[in-house]
Order: sequence, then C-alpha cells, then structure tokens
Amino acid sequence: MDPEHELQRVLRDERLDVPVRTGAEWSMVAAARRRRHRNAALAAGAVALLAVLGTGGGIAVVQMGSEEPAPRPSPPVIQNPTHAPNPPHGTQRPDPQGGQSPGTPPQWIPPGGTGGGDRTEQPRRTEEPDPRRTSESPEPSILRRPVETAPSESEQETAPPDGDATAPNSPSDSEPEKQQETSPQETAPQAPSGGSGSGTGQQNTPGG
Amino acid sequence: MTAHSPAVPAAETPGMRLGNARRGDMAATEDDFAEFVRVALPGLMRYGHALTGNPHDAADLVQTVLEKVGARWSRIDDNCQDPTAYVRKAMANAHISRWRRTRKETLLAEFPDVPSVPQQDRLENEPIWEALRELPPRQRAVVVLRYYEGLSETEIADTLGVSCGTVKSQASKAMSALRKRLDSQAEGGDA
Repeated sequence: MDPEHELQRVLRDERLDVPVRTGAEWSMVAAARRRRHRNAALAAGAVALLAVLGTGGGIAVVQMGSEEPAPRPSPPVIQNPTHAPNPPHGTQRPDPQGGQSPGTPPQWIPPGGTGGGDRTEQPRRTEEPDPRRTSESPEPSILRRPVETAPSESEQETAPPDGDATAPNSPSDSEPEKQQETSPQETAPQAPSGGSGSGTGQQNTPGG
Repeated sequence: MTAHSPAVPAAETPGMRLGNARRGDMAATEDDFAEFVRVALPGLMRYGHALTGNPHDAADLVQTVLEKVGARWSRIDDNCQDPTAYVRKAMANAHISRWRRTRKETLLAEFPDVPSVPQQDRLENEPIWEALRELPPRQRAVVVLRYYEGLSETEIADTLGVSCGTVKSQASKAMSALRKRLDSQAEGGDA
C-alpha cells in the first residue's frame, strides 16, 4: 500500500467536508469586532499606566533634587579672651629670629593681606580667620603654618620666647616659632600703626 | 399627550464628519471580511479537518484564527495578495502552537463521553486516516500542505516558518511512520 497514493485519495475525499451553518460569517465578524475593541481597551490602559508611571517618576526625581542638603556654614571663630586685643589695623611683624636682626625692617602687613615681600612660606589658610591674629598685637608673624591649630597656638604662646627681644611691648605670649617663619631678607619696612594696643607703637628700626 | 417635534439636526462638525467616515470605513471593512469568510469558510474547514483530524477541533481552530484575522482585516487585505493563503498559514502555526500547549496538560481522567446520537466518523474506517491522526502536528501539517494544498517544499517552509531542510526531514519521518503503520495494519489484517 503506497502511503502517498492513499494520502492523495483520502485528502480529496468528500467526507473531509465539515458542514457550516448559514450566516456563520456574521458570527466571525462580531467576534472580530469584540476582539478589536478588547485590544483597543488594553492599549489605552497600557498607555495610561505608562503615563502615570512616567509622571510619578518625574515628580520623584524633582523632589529628590530639591531635597539636597544645604551647605554647612563654617563654624564660628572663637576669640581667646586671655590675650590682648590686636589693633584693627595691620600689625607689625617683628624679627622672628628672636632679636632684631640688623637690616630687617619691620614689616607692616595690612589686615587681610600678606606682605608684598612675603614669599616664604606655606600658603595661608583661608578657611577660618585665626583668632590669634586679631587678639595678639605683637605677633611676630601673621602667617601661620598650615598644621597649626588654635589649641596648639595657645600652647606656643604661653611658652616663653627664646630670648628674643622682638619688641619692647611684645607680650610674653609671642610665638618664637612664628618668628622664624620670616627670613630677615623678606621683611619689608613696616609702617607705624597708630592704633591702640600694646604693640602698635613699636617699630623695629634697622640696626637697632 | 406631548408631541415630540423632530430634533433639528445639528450642523456637522469636522470631528463628527471624521467619526462618520471612520464608521463608514469600519462597516465597509466588516462587509468585506464577511464576504471573504462566506467564500473561504468551507475550504478552511476542510483544511482544518485534515490538519486536526477532528471536525470539532477544526471548527475551533478556524474560528480562533478568523477572529484574529478579522480584527486586523483592513491591514491584511491591503498587504496580502492572497488572504486565504495567509489564513491557512496562520491555521497551521496555530495548530502546532496549540498542540505544544496542550501536550503539557496532564489528563487526570477520561470521561466516558457517550453522545446522545451516535455519530460515526466518516473517515474512521480509513487506516491512512488513523495513521495520519497519530502523527505529530508538524509532520501532519507538512503532509497536508504537500498532498492537500499541493505546495512545494519551499512554499511549505515559508508557510510554517521553517527551513527547507526541516520540511524535508519532517516529510521523510512522516512518510516512514505512515508506511510502517500501514504495513503493521496490513500484517495485522492478514494475520
């Protein structure tokens, strides 16, 4: 028995026909219409859901951006009341070597600025104003070392100076370490300051 | 008794005109689809019967596919040169997919389905028909498309979305299974 021949015979047989009722095509049309409406409703629901999700996500992003913390303000600077107040104007810079080295003119450093010839050293810290500078008049140097802090500065100030005759009115709390910061050749002549205070009237005259 | 005066027809706005045009297009599309179904339905039912081996499964398959095709009829009619071939292609693929889906189902029990009116399967006595029903759906689709539709191997591959090599291998397996089944039935009949 040849399968191909049998297949051709059976597949052409009339018994393969399935009777169809009259008007079945309109049932198909109605079913297709229902399916089309269902697909449209699903598509509309999906679009609405996407719109809601997108709007919610955008609002969340905006809120997150507006909730960024404000930058912290710098902590207030506390002045040490134990030291004599510095004059508001620029201060003198006595010889940091502990005695007036000859030929080192006093340097007058305006407030808020460094001396013109002051090229020594380390960059000045600008984050916080040093309370010591404003409170101590006869400081040998306004420029601080970067590592110095307020408590450490107080310790240095209490230590007696190393034989330095910086200025007649310089208080005992002058800082010998700071005196070493400026080299004699870098000090500029200082303009006398007329302000009150212990260290205001001093002048380190050259040679003397 | 109140007299209902006829409402004055409102002037047509552009939106109303567009809606009416769309409804008109939709009605024309549905009429076109109904005409297509009326002409092609007997052939599709016969084809479905050959594909599934069961007239009830054939009706279910044809209705499912025509429902999907009708929802997109305007696009199919514009793009396809032969919508009947497109529908037959869809029926073959739907039959294979359905068979894969139902194969995973586990039958817990077989219901003794006794029909009220005994209806004899008209092709039940044909051994080739029984052998054809036992083939896997893809092999049966290849055989039906080849011997019922008269398609070539390339056309069958395009219809089923497979390669020509797959069509050849499936056809070879189907024919060897049919031959083996027919031989066994002939030997059993002879014995």
